[in-house]
Amino acid sequence: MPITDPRFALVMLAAISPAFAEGIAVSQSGGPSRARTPDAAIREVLAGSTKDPARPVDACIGELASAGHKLIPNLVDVLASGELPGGTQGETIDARQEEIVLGALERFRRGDLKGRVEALLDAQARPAARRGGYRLLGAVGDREDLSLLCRALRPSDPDADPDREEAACFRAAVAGILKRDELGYPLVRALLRGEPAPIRYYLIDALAETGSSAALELLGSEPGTGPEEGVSRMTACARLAASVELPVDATIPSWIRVHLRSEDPMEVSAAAECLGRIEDYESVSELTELLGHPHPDVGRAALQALRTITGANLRPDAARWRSWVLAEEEWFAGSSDRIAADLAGSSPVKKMAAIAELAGHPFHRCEAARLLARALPHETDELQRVGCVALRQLRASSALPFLEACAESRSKAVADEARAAIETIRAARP
Amino acid sequence: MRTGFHDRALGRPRKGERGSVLVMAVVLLGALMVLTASFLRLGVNLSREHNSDVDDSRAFCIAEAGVAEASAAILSGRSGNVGSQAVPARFANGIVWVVATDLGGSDFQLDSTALCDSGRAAVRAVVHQEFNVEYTQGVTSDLPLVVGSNFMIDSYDPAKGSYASQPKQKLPGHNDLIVGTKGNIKSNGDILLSTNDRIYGDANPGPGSTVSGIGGNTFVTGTTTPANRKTAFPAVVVPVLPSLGTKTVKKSDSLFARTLSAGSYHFSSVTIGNQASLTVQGPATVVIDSLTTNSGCNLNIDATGGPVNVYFTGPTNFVSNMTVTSTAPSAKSISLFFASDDPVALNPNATLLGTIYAPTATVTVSSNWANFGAITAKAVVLSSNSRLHFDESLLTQGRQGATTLALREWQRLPVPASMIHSRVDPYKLLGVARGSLQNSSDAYH
Repeated sequence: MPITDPRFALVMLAAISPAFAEGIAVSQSGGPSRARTPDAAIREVLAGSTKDPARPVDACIGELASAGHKLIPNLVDVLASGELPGGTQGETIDARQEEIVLGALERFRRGDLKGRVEALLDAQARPAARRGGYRLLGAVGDREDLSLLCRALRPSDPDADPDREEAACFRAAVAGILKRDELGYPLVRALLRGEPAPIRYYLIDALAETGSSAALELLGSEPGTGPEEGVSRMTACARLAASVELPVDATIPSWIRVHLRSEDPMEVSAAAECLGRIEDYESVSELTELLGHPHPDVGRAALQALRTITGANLRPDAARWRSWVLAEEEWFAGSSDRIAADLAGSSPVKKMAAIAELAGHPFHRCEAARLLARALPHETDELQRVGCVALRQLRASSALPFLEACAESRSKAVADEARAAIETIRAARP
Repeated sequence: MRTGFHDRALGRPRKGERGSVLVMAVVLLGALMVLTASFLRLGVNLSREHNSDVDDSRAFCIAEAGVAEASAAILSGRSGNVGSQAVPARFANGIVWVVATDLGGSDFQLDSTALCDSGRAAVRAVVHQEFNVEYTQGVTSDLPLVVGSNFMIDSYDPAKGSYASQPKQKLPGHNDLIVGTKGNIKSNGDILLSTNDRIYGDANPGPGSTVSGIGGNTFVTGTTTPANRKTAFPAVVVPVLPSLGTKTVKKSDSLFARTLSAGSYHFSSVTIGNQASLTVQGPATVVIDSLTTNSGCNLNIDATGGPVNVYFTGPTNFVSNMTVTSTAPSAKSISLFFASDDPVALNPNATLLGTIYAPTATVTVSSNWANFGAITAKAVVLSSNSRLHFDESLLTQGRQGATTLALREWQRLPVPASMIHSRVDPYKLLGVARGSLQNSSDAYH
């Protein structure tokens, strides 16, 4: 198309202005020549959703979102007022309509909503609008919004607690932002130091929902302002540890291990639970000593942690655990080189025997996983299959990358066994 | 002519060979006797081994029976010890004794040793005591159930959302907007209904008892048939936890200090101050020996992270202008147990999604206490205008109200060497008289 062609100018205008492009689209699709007002468009969709309850919410959301940015102010107004636009006053929207409005707003970018969400979070806004504001930020917000969220949650009465329903939305919003933007963690660290206790309380809760090792590191390393805060942080760490990807950075367990020496049994119990879930081998001796703790929760958590870390199912008997760990250490010290040599050698019989021997020692499953992952990729299908069986038996989560590669194997037997191992290992996590 | 050949052919031995057959026969017979003796010995050994195996199997079965006896002992409130090595108990053809060790946290280790003729066996089981209450009714009372006027009970299924969010219906001929019709009430005695009581479910009095007050605006949509048998009210088994002393919650405390995070706690007393708020986060077990509440305070139970069980073992004082709230997926997640005889007055403004169990106390429920769950007590007094919404998910919970034991661990133990080496009669081995021993079921201590 030559640049002298009038259509070229139209194309250029369309590229520069989305609104112009929408106009072209409407005229080309044969739509009404007189454009509807944003309020009318919103009203039509929302009223239509009530008239036709069978119509999926997603379809309504899609229709509103496709109308473009010009609807944003009106959609926010609908959410803020809780009323249908363009009609008589007092026509309130129902939960389904609210869901459609929020869903449509979530389809836009944070930059498009600039200045609008703040209005929703105003202290005078209606509760549903505030909850919507939190949800919106959780869906599209960025790390700059973390401070805004904290400000919004602070009650006007400094002695009062935040509203619990709002706090739940706040938690979800903060977690949502942090899941998208890892650079938000340093900001949360600053907020944990500066915000009042109720906000810190819910920030800690939010961190527990992120499933991120950065959150675990933050919660473990930051000293709380009092003993009760320490318990809250450790409880959050224990929750978080169930969902973080293993192995975690080596500094994290060292932070958590400090809490095993706390005077509060609940803090100790939560720390033991956390260390078990992140499979921290270094804490085995300390956990063994905790088996005889006078508080039953601590002994139980320590036993569970020991079982998770070592893969052994011994009774809560500290002496028995100590001797077993010692025996495993001695075995590994005396056999690891021979097993590595056997796996690297040429005798398939010795390789098979080495794999079988590794499978019988769960305490060193990380090392076993490393040895097998190094030796097996170029081996026969049969040896790979047996290796997968061994890793399944060991429940070695550090072997997941190797097993995932095996799951793509051309050999059906290897792939099936690898998938079964992955399933078993993942199911073993709390 | 007589020749040597002729003599041999006639079977006549020559002079030097006489008696050799006899020697050979004797040797053969001797060999046969040795062989027979060997086989006999082998047979006896095999038989002995077989008998020993059978005896070991019998001893093993008796040891297992010992574990079962010890479990029964624990369930009946005993220590779990059955007999002892000095004075064992008798079971079938053998003898048995069980040493029970309380491991804490409702766990018991049971070491059972059994001897039966030449058989010996020892097993160890770790069992966990669990306390289950069956909630099949919205309200269950041991004594006659007194219902104030204008009481209403219906039911709902939390799997379909909260009570408030679920569509309501009017039953033909009735005016209440209700969700479900499983709002049953039950008593081991009579049920005394008052004016305008509406029971959307069954009202079953105890055996031989009746439901009174039906008529006019008072109705029961289900049956009013007396129950065939009385409902059991097992005693509350309070978890044994080391006491953390007293806990006082003030309004000025930080939110952290006003929260009990997930875990197990035992307080000799809990005081919630004026306008203060205490939150219990699940999963948690809280034992409170004495509860004091003050004006405008709040008790929040958050079971979204796991179940919360609160055991009140002494006096409880819920002031009328406090608030009790709960967050939970269903009433299964929150249980309030009252283990003492002290009367329980549920006066506060409450929205409790949970169950209340007080087998030895009278529970009075005010009209401000909205319960989404179930109430079971020795005596229940439902005040006028009170409402209850039975949580149907409770119908799938646990077993018939009782304490149960769950097996946590099991293993065979080595039998003491002194008993293995001497496979004599067990009574002789232990030096006890056969007739002097009690049956295992009588030897709990």
